[in-house]
Amino acid sequence: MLHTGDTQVLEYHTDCIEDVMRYIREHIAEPLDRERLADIAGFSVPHFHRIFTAHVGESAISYVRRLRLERAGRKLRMGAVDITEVALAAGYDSHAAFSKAFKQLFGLSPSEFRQLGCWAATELLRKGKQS
Amino acid sequence: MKIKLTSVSIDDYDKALKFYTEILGFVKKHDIPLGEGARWITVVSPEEPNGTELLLEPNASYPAMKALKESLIKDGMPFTAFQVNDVQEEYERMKELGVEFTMEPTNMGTTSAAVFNDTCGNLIQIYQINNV
Repeated sequence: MLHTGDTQVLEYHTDCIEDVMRYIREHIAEPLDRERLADIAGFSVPHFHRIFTAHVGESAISYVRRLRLERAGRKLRMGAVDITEVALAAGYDSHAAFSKAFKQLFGLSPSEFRQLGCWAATELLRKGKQS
Repeated sequence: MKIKLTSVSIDDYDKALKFYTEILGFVKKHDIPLGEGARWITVVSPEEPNGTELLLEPNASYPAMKALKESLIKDGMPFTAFQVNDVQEEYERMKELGVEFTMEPTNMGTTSAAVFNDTCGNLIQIYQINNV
């Protein structure tokens, strides 16, 4: 059973995490580290990790990785020709590492994804990993 | 038949006009009061003052438009696109002004493009034609 104080703490945590999520979206093309994100939330790193995971359902690292892969997917959907350029922008240092992560999330390699029509690619980006 | 006018869906005249002029660099062409607070506001490119006008159309709260805009944002789809000479240069200029980009400049082969949030509920693409 939640008490008034618990609800206030929960709302405070939600506000903090939403601030962090906004910061991540606005700075997704830049290097992001846990210390900086925890600082924005106003928590210690371990506390931030627990609160973020509890609120979002995945760790901050996983959230950032997924957002970057989704952005990469949108670029490929729009016709990006250079997968290595897309990989580097998504924070991967090689085509192979990017392809592996992309396939883990969406169930298709970037090359296969690029062959999809706009509608199919959009559906996949919405759903995440292909069922 | 000519295309002299196109539009972008907005919710607030002043906020949109500020963004489209002060950030994007377009120039106000018309601002005509239509009664009951409604205005006919268009902007043009300073490079083409007699070119196609962009109407700032306050229909963002119309349910169908609201649903469309939300879906486009969610799926990362641009509402419309503007041509620039150099996408990278515009990207850097606009980033300095605090514009949020959902896609940084990317080589699409015949074009290079980037996508930003216009703060009026739209993603807008800027693109350059590449020399191929």
